[in-house]
Amino acid sequence: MILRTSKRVLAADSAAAVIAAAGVFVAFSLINSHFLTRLNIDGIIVAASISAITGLGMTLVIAMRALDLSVGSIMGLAAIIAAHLLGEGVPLGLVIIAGLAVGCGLGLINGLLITMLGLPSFVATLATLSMILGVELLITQGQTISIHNIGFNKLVVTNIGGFLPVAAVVAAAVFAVVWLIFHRTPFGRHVAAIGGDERAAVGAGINIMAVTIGTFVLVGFCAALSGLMTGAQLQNVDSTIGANAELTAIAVVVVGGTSLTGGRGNLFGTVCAAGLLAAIEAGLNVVNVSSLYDDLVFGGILIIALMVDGLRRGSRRRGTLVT
Amino acid sequence: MKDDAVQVDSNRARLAVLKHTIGGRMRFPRERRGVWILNAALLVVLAFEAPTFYTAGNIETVLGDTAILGIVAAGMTVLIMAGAFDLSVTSIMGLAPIVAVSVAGDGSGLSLLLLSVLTGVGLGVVNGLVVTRGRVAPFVATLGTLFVFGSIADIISKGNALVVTNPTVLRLGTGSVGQLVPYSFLIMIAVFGMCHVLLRRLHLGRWVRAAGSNLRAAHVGGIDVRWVYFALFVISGALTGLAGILLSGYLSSADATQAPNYNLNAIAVVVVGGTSLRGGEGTLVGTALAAWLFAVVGNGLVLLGVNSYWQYVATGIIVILALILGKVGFGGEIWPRRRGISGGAPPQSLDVAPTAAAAVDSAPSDV
Repeated sequence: MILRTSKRVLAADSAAAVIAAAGVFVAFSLINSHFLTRLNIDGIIVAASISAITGLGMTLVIAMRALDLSVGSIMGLAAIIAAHLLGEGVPLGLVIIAGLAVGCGLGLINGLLITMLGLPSFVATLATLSMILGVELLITQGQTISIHNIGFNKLVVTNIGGFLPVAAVVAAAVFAVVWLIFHRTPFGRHVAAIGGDERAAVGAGINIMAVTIGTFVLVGFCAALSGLMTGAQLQNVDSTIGANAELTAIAVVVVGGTSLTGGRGNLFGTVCAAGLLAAIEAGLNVVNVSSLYDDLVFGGILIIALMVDGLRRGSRRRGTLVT
Repeated sequence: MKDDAVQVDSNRARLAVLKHTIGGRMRFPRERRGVWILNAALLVVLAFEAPTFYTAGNIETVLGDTAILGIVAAGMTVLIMAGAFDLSVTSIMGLAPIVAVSVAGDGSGLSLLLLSVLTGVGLGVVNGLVVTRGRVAPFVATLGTLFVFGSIADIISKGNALVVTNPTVLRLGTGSVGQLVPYSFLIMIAVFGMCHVLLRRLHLGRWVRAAGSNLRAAHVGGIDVRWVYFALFVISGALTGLAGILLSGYLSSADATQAPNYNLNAIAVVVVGGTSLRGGEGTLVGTALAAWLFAVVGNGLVLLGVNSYWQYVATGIIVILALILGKVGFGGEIWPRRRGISGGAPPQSLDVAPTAAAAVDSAPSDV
């Protein structure tokens, strides 16, 4: 029974993320007992939730065999607009709706550039990445905007029942919704179909335009939500929020076991990989290793996970290997 | 229905003949049209609105701005033609000069230069090994090494900027011939010449295009695609190391984050220049023109007195415009309307291009 379960875990696409996350957690708790303190665990959960939400949206985009490089900029712009509106005294509810609407709107623009003009998603979102960053800087003029709104902060970091940060609940809700969309609706199947073989999807009568636009709106929404949460957590917002988040998000999705070749997406793996990244950052901090090593460990895990994956697949067909 | 199809076919044939005659005489390929038009438009606008653009001192600045991004983009062009990416250039540009400065900070200029290039070669070897032996797709492999190399650069420099005092390196980064042509620009010309020879005069160039247009067919055709990828990553690493030390000379410091976003910017330059992310074909001339275009935009906005933050917006607009301009016209995808699948298509190979190793795997066993 245990053997069968462990075999199934090892064979799954998300194996690398699950094993690495578990290993990192165990290792850090053994090295330093402070790793398992309430404060530290809460920090990990909040950080993991934020990067998981963007990652979940990105998983769908990658399952469609596209990429969205503009998520980092969308995160930043949503946070900046929210901070700006809060400064003007707009009620919190409206601010959150506005921030999310900005994300959806930018996602729509991405989708339209890709479908109407036929630009590759990589190039279209590379262009919007730069443009949105420019808008951020024009709004902030390179300055930091402080948020003086305790309610906004509490919406992310409060512990429900003294146990679970709200951020985790939000992330769980996003996971549930994205999972249902991807696995239980025609839309989700169409996303995977387009990623698997676009021509076949066209032949099957799938409305590529609508599905592409819908997916990019979804990822825009997710990114904006992450951005708002980051802003709420930090209380200080500037244009560096979300800087390079697009590459981190792609890395999280890939470590989670989703291949860039499209057609499949592993949402659970993405969440595990987000947890892994957050645990590495918090853990190295606890054991007093400089944060300069964060990326070394995470990048190393990314490469090793992919190499093991490649060798595992390769060993099955060794007979055909030509060198 | 059938007649319709025949009609379309004959129209297409006529169009193809027309395109061939026009294209054959004018040598004005559609994919490079965008960068030419945008360059021309900008230069004309600047002539009227900011004549100071055409002073020797300013041209020198623009050429200097062109050079470093251009050198990185040259390597990226060759990689993209082969269907690969190198996202780690950002980190290599930081790490290579940091290694050079910390090992031979007091040494001669030549040793600094060589060390930086050699470090780039070494990092390129790592990239190449991960891609070809580790069987990881280039995009994600270099995404991983982007993190790893960046972190190592941080660790070596302890997160600080190292001061560069070597006069030779400083001169290479900032000096120029006759107050007009910077040394770095001359180096860029040499790099483009080298890449041109590589692509047009060496077997490797043919293999690059073959691997880029169809990896599996290239393998079945007897090309050692793994070796091709390995070589390209090493070349890209060397060029990036070179660009890194030039940038350090320009900034008179070596910093782990001295080249933020050079990876995506270099890809943007390559794409604006008219090289398709689908691989298999590309244009070095276009890349050089696009690097110049980006430098002109940055410089021109300053001269026009526009808030420098508009530069980001302008960059995005240029990327989109250049691609649209390349798609309009005879046989273009936007107008006149092309038949068949319209838009929406994420590029075929982009993201991932099945790795060299995967292609080897999926090839028939009797090869």
